[in-house]
Amino acid sequence: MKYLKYMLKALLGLYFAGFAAATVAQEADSDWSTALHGQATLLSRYYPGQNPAGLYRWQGEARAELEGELAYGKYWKGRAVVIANANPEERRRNRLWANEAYVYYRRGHYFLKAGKQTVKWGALTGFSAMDLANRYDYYDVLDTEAERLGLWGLEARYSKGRTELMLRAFHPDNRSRLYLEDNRWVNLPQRMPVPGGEAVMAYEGAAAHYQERRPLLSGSLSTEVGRVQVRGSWLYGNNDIPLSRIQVMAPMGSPVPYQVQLHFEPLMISALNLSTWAGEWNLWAEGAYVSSKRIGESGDISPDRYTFCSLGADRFWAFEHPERQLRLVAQFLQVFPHQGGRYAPTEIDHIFQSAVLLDTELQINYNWSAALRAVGEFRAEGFYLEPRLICKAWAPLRAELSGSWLGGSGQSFFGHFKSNSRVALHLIRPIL
Amino acid sequence: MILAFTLIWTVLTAPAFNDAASVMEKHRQATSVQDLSGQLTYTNISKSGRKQTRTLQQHILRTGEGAYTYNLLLEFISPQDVAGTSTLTVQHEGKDDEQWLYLPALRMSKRISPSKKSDRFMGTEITYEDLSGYLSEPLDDYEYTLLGEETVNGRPAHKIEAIPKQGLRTQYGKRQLWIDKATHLMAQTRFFDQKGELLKTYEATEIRPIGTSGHYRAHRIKMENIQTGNTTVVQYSGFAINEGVDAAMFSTTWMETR
Repeated sequence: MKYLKYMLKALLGLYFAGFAAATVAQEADSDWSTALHGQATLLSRYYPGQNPAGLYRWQGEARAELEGELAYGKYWKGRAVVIANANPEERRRNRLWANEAYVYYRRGHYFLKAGKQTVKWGALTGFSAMDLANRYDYYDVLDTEAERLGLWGLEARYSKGRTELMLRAFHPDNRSRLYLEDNRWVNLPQRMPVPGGEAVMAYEGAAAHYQERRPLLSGSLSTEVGRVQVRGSWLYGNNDIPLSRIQVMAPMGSPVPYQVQLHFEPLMISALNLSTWAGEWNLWAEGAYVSSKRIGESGDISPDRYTFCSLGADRFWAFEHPERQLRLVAQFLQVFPHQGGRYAPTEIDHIFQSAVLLDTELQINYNWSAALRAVGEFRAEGFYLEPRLICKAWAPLRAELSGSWLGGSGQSFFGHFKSNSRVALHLIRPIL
Repeated sequence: MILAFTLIWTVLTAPAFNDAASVMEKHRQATSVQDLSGQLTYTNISKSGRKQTRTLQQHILRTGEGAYTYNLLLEFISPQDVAGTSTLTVQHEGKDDEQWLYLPALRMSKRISPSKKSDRFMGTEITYEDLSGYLSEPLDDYEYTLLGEETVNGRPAHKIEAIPKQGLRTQYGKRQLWIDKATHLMAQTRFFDQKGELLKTYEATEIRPIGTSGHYRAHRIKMENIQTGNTTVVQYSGFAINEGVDAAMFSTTWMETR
């Protein structure tokens, strides 16, 4: 807890320093303008099921997020997001860091952003193949939206009328954050078969291997043809979800020490998105070609090429009852592998193979909403249900009670990790 | 006999019609701007007293298409769960509006199906038809009759009846308008449904001048749905009229790179 005290002090120091600098700047020159926002989150999760390795049943975290903006004149703007995270059970999560720190210049048709910035690669209402390149803190595999990591790099856009060209380039060392040890989402081997029985194994760390340290590059061109929005996207870099192999260091040891070899292999994605509407439904589709690598059944690193197709629709209903509203997003996606073999349930890039995704939220009244996220994975036979109850009765405090139910065949990601079904409570409040 | 009656009728009714038309034209001129920016906070209040509050930044710019069609950009500032959401509307003369929505969670803007005129705007009691009317009163779509003068919130106003012309697709069977005599702004409106029953009332207060633009604006409006009991109160601040708005703002690139 002593780290928490230092982190909070540092955060407060940063806040006051930023505020003072902004105020001085504003008084000195009216071309400067500033804005500060902040949010505090308390999170608690309980796992009723026992993990095979006997890991934690409770998780609790506190987070404070401060966002500062500084603009100069019409064309320049800077933004920084500082996050302090405290977790009494997991020291690796006790962190204070600047997740974003960038400046941008915008004039006429041109836009250029440089610095540390968070990126969502997919440009689809639902899940896009391009989202495979998203960088997260994977402490938890289900709640990744609040865990998007900033990347150092550049974004440039040129737009004219309804057409936009976007180019992005990011430093090779922008990777997701992985937690191999003491994590319910990673099954490290505990024992290995040996002649005459089993030997206990001991994890001795992980080593990263790169074929090449590739920058993450991407480009997209979007336009409108009649009432159809068209976007072509391309991305190339290293897949930040590494392929992992166990390297036994001393087979005769007791316990047997081993290292996890993490192989960062190239990833290339080309995608074409179309979206339009019919009546009150918004409709969208994506066709993508993905070229990646995987560990084949023989244990070798082999090509993993597949076509990723998806169709989706979303709609909003406002009912006669003035407070009642419903939002629905539905997506079907199908992966067509270009080679034989079956994907393992732990291959995170292949959670969805032939799946239906639903995301819906009903605003019952201004204080209460009920929501449901659901996934039905047909090929690997797994499912995921996440009902949520959202309360804003004590606004600006927002409370969310949710359940995550994973199930199905052990061959699916959801069935494999079914012991990670849980209930969670989020409390979120603006602090500035 | 018929001709004489027609002539007398025309003579009797013409001044009233012209007066109403002239008042409405002045009203349209008073609301017409080249560009407008400002912040607004709206609160929806349900019949049982539950409240929902949102704050937005609005930017309006006249399109190149005509004097009374606008680009409208709305950016949510608070609360936190909707902050960053933006909508862009481009009006067209004689055609459906075009609309785009930017959702921060998706980090993308998308073209969405155009809203129906009767759809409520952002869950408020203000419909897209009302919003369009605030930007520019559709003078060609209604028959206006001057009913007299009344005082609204201590300010003298013209009372006018607006009846939709045959074939106009509207949610209203009739509107009664009170146009402020000093500023020509809408001071009060009563909306009647197609059955002739009172549906909503609109009231504008805190009418003040905006800088040196020569324009006035109501800084507080209240729309009450008599039939459902729901009310929307909108409080405006930081109005800037005809001070120049960057045309590049009205693009999906702008929404995605805020």
